[in-house]
Amino acid sequence: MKFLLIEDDSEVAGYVMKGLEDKGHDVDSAADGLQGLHLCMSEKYDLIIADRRLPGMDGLSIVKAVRAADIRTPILFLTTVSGLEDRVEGLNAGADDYLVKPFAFTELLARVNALLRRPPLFDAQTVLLVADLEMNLIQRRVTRGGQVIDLLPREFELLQYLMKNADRVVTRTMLLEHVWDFHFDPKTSVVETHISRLRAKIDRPFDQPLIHTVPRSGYSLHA
Amino acid sequence: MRRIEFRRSSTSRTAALYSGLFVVSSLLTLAILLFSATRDLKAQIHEAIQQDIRELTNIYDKEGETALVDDIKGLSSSVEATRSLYLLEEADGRVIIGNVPRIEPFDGWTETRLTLASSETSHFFIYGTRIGELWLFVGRRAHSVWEIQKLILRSVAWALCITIPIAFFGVVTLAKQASRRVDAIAIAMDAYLQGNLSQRVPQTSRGDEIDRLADNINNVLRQIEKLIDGMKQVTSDVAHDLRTPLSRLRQRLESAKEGGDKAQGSVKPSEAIEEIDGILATFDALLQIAEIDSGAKSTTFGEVDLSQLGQFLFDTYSSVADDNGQNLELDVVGNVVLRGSRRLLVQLLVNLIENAIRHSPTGTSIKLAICNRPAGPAIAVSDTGPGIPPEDRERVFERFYRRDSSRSTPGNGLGLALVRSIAELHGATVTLSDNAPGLIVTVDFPSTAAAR
Repeated sequence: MKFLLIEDDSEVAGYVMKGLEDKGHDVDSAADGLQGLHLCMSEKYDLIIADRRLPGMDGLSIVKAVRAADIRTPILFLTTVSGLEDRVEGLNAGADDYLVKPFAFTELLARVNALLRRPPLFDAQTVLLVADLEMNLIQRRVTRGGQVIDLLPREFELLQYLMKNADRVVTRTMLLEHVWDFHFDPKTSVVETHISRLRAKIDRPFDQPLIHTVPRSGYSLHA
Repeated sequence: MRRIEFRRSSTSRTAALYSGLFVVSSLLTLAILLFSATRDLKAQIHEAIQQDIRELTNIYDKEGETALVDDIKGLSSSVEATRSLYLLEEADGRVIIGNVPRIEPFDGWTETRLTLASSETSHFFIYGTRIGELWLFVGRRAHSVWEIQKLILRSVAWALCITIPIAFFGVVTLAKQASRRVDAIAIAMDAYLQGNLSQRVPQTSRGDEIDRLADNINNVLRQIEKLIDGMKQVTSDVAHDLRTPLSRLRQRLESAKEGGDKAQGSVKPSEAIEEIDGILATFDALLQIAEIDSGAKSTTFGEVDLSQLGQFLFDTYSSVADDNGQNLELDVVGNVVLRGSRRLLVQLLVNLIENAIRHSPTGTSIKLAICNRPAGPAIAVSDTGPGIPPEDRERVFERFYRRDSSRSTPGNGLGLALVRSIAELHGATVTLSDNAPGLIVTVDFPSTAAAR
């Protein structure tokens, strides 16, 4: 995969580039907004990671310009700009995800992977399938090995997100953002509790566990 | 000094301007008065003359020339003759009878100076007309018109002599008063700029334009004070409360460095990261409180369905409470919708629910109640836990305040401060009271917050 990183802090840029290159990705980098925009427009990337505060041209303008040029490459904001509405502003401008600095590299990697394999815009999938676990989104029905499993609304949403991101690591923060729309860190074990409830229903009665804990990162659903 | 001189010149300029305007308008009034009085009086005199002419013509028509001559003779010698003029002339202008010397015959009105037979000289309004072959002239002294004019002029002159000084004095007083109030505002704002942020601009009970201006200025001053206070608060919070964990971390890193790998009790990287994450979380929470307190983002309010939000959070937290050996109940009455920030209201509710979960022992019942009260929408989170003694209920809202009993629980002491900030942004008040046993936290929104 070929990435573009637009980041003026050389230390952060080096850290992110090294991490992504270790995972086998190709990373171009730009330290200023205009150069970044130029690369966005002239090269073809699988993913763009951009800071918001940049010399030359700010990240928000770059994203707007890129989207105006009808380039649909996934864009991730990686920024210290973390005010109340800044995230909404960033996503509204056309970015696909928003990660606030400082961040853990595992968090960035999980989000990058989620963006890369995100299904195309028109997602008409009505049935999700992982091993013998099946979720029907229309009937809101979950079965495993043909056995119907009753899930509470939050558990259903949680499983749906895990299934849509099957084989990938999803972090606790990603779950909080997507399943609960919580953009803060709860002080109780909201995610852990729900994962454990879900495991009790999805995994415990069966031989093969599907929900796996990835140490220091999050969770992953796979056979 | 310069300001006072300006005030003086501005005051006297205003006074001069208004006095001038007063004089001009007085003179204009006078002119109109004179003109209309003169016109009316003239009309009256003309009417009287016409009346005489009609009567005399009548006599001539009915009784002939001799009767007319007799009548005029009578009139000329009567008391009327001192202010009236009667004259009958032949067609060629010879005087038949009258109390004035000959007048060159004319038809219609004239105004001229004449000497009567009684040797009085005066201005007369005269009307001349033909009666048969004769010329008849009747006149009245213009004297009365002039008398009236003189009278009016004199009284107005006196009136002006008295009213102009009064007007000038009044204008000066008013202008001075206004400029005194403006000066008071300027002085108050000077004090504000000198750093006295509680200073407000003086207002009177008059509610006039200066008061309205002062009110606006005070609102701005209040807002600035609030922003500056918020900034000071954050700065001092950061200085005092982030310093402690940072210096602790530094010490541990230092001992790790000195002792190398063998050091006992030195910090492991994962612990250091955890500690730094805690510091960052505190930092974010402080900034968020400051941002909410500044109130600048309240423009992004939308409609928030509290009933639905309550159900959502109940779904989320009932299992968390369950795992904690507690019981979470939901009590939503009616459809409660209000205008606000969904994201912040979620955070407010989560903070209250999590506080109840974290600070209550096993076996506690926790209830989330949402309803519409007559006074407006309300949220109540109650528990049957240990509660908070009345003397501590205000202090728990302070930033970083943690009760001794909760020091063992992780947390930064900002939860309730954030709750209060979010509530205030929505115009709501947060009250802690006794749930006997336990604590009940109520958030009362004003009825204006309710979205239809």
